[in-house]
Amino acid sequence: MQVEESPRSLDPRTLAKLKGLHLRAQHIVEGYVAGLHRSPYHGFSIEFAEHREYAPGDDLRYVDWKVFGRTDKFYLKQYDDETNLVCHLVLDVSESMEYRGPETSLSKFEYAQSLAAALAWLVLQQQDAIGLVTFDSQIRASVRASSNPSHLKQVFQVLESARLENQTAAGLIFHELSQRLTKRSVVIVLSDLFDDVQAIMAGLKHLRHRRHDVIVFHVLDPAELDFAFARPTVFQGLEQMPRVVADPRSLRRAYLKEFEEYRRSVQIGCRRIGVDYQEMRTDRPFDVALTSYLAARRVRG
Amino acid sequence: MWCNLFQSGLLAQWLLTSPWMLLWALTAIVPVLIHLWSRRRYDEVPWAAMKFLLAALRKNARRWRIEQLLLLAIRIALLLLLALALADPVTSWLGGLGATARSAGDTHSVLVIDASYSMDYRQGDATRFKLAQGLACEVVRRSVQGDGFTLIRLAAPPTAVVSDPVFDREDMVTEINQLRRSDGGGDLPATLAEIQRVLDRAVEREPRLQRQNVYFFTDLGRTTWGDVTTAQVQAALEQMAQRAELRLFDVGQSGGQNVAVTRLAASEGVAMVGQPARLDIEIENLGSQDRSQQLIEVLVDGQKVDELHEDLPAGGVATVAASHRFQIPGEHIVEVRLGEDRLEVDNHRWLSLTVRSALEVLCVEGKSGAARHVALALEPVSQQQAGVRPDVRSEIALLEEDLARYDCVFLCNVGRFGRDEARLLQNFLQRGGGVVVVLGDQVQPDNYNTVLGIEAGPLRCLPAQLDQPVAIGEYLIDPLDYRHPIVEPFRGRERAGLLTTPIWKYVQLQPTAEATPVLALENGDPLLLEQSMGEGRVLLLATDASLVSFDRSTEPPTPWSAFATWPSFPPLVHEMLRSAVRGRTQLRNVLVGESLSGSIPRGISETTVTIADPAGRRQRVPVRISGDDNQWTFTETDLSGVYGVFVESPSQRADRYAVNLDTRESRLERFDAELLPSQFQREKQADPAEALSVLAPQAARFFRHLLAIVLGLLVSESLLAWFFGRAAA
Repeated sequence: MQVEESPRSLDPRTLAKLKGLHLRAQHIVEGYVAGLHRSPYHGFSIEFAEHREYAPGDDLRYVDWKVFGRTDKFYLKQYDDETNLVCHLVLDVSESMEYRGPETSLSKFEYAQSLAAALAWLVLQQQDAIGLVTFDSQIRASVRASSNPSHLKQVFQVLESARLENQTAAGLIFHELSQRLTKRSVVIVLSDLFDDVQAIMAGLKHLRHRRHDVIVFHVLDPAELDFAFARPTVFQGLEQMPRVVADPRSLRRAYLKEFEEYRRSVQIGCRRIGVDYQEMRTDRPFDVALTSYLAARRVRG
Repeated sequence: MWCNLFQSGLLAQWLLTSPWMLLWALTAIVPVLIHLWSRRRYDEVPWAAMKFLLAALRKNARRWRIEQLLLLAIRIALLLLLALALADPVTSWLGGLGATARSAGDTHSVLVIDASYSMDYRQGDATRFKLAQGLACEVVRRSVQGDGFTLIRLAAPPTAVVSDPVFDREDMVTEINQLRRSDGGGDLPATLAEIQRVLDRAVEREPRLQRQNVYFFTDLGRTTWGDVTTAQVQAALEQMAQRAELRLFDVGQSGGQNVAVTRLAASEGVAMVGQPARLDIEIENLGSQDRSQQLIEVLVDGQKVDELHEDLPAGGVATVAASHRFQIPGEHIVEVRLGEDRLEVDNHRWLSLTVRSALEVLCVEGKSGAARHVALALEPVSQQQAGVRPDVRSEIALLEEDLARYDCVFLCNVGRFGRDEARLLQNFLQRGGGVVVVLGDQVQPDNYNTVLGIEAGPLRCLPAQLDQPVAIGEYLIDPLDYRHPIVEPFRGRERAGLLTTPIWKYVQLQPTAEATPVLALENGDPLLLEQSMGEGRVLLLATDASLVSFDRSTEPPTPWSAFATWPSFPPLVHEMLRSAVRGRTQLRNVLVGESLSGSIPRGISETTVTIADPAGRRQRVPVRISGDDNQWTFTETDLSGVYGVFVESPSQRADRYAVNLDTRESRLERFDAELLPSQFQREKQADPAEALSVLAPQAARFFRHLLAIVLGLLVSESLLAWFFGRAAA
């Protein structure tokens, strides 16, 4: 699926000006859908259930031309098995997600929160079921999966009520989710994954073992990736990490080396266990994430 | 305050010329303050990816800290060294001018520069004297503000050129550069006495100068330093070393090559117009290499008249004779000149020679016939062109004649003299005349002793006291090994009859200390004596020179001698005449260091005497009254060459004197430096230029080195900062 150019509405800087998660999610999804060349809505089940009015982005293959001939309006044919896809959003609400670099308009959490909301919106629009889990060192909130449109409000409430206070223990959480999620589903992880890589990989492997499709949106701030600090800086550690005084110029090379090793180990680990990995810089548009989801959705559908 | 800081331990080896400039060292705190201030200005940010930052820190903190400290240290060192450079440090750490450096501003240095003429020896492009001057100037330049300097010229006699401490270094350097070399040797004992005197004066006048240094700059010539082992010099050095540090800079080298003119004399004493005058020249090769066809030039009054070439083996002496026929009577300057070598000063020698058309001799006889044989011997044949013109007169002529027109006076058997006659003779001698006194039976010894002898005081003009005549006997002549020039021509010529001359009676003489025996009798009594008197010379013959003196106590009367009839008589009388008139010429030829003197007739009023030395400098000399004449004396003959004496009286006299080297110094023999007394600290550099180079880092403006280091640190800091930054980027 091709996106010619990210609409301005998908730019985090634009999104940051919008208040309210609902508005942001709607903005993202509408902006995203408007930019698609062809509708990703395909792979629906065979058994017809009812008609639904055409919306931009819908696959024209499912337009009921007979009804069009009679009424001169576009209606799509809906099938019974259309809602058999279950998607679980797993959102990291640890303290490290609170970080926002000097060059970005959204913190990692805000970015991930907006992305999660948009995904939930998109999933429900497709009549799929959406569930939500927030975690840090333990699962802080959980919303069961449902395809009911009214379910979106509950998801948004949980997203907005998250408190970023604790350390993360992503590996353990993934193990726990593996136990909890019995039905095969798409698991979308939104996290900076600042935890032990081996533990994380072990958790993700467990999820894969349970035949879940796992998509990892590795949310990182540009400052974490580039470490472009110039002046001597006191780094106040989040998640109970110590306070460090350093000259970033002299440390940059060593830091980037460490960080690159970490990124590469996460990327390689994910590829090895069949997890879709997508690095999400918080200064980049959201469409990449949405496209990744829809690609997974198509495979599952 | 700063000096105290440097008076202990290793720091005592250092000296800061401008210590207040060290205050700039306080700026070294600036990098530290900037470092601390920049720490205070840290940005503060929350940070999520702390795990990776900590890992980076853990692995690089040590290197990073070292880099930071290294840069900080370089920056601090840079400022400290810059401040140190501004303070202009001098160190004695390498030895050398330790005393100067240790004692900032409280040192009195006596600079003693050897001015003997061997210092004129050229080593490379410069003479030893120039090297010594250069070293002395360096010592002055490397001193510190407040140090005092005095300057002594090691010569014979020595001179305290700067006797009181001078504190202006530039003035002192100028004095050193203006110092003149002498053409004489060096008098070490007298120089040490002069140094002591200067040290004493400095202690008395400048008590602030607590340290005393004595620097000798010399070529260690043996003629000067040979005395260093004597008890007198040892004692003086011992005493000096108790109060001063003695340091010796050896600017000499062994194995010098030199050829010198060691003698120039006219064989005849007085040259005659139109007759060949023989010049005896002695050349000595004082080096270790043979010289073939050594060029010898003879000049008369500046015009070359002869040129000779002589082979000179190493260490050999060549005696050559040149001949010149003078056409004009008067005073002439003969010069012998050699080709160039490394020691130029002894390649010349001068002779002031009086040329006469004829010698005028006054023969005074106290008894008729007493001077007849003398006159006959002087002028055997009466000729118009005779070289000697004797004038035989009675004894009254002494008062009647103007003695100034005579070269020599023979007093033959004159019975007694009056005071006026004695005064005339004395004046005659003082002006360079010659007097030959021949005794005889007329002579009254008491009168001679009283009027002309030792009892005459300043009028004395006899070389001996006269006793009574001896009894008749046969007395034979002892030629005293023909040592004296008067009798030297008789050597090997026994047939001339000198030894067989019959002498039966003579007057016993008691010679004065200054008298030189020419002939004696076999019983040891002197027969002929010679002595210089003023510019002239007097000879005294103890027996008669005629056939008119008799001892009448025997029958028949016995003549005093048969001298006048003997074949040895004519040549002996001529030799006596030459010797008697040689005085004037000899006094016009002196050695360096000896005094020039002369007399001017009292009748000339308002006389001024001016001496022009060979360098062209003119100097007026005082005239003092002595007897009937005005006498002048000039002692500053420290240059060899021709001195002009100008008597600015109505007669406008101008005389020329030749001052020559005492060529002992030409041998360039060196005193073995290892035998120097232990009081000396000797600079061991064989080459004086090396001595300079050793001095250079000690007193050379050390700030140049420091600035070079500062520059290096600046570059290093930039490179390191760039490298560290690049490594971190």
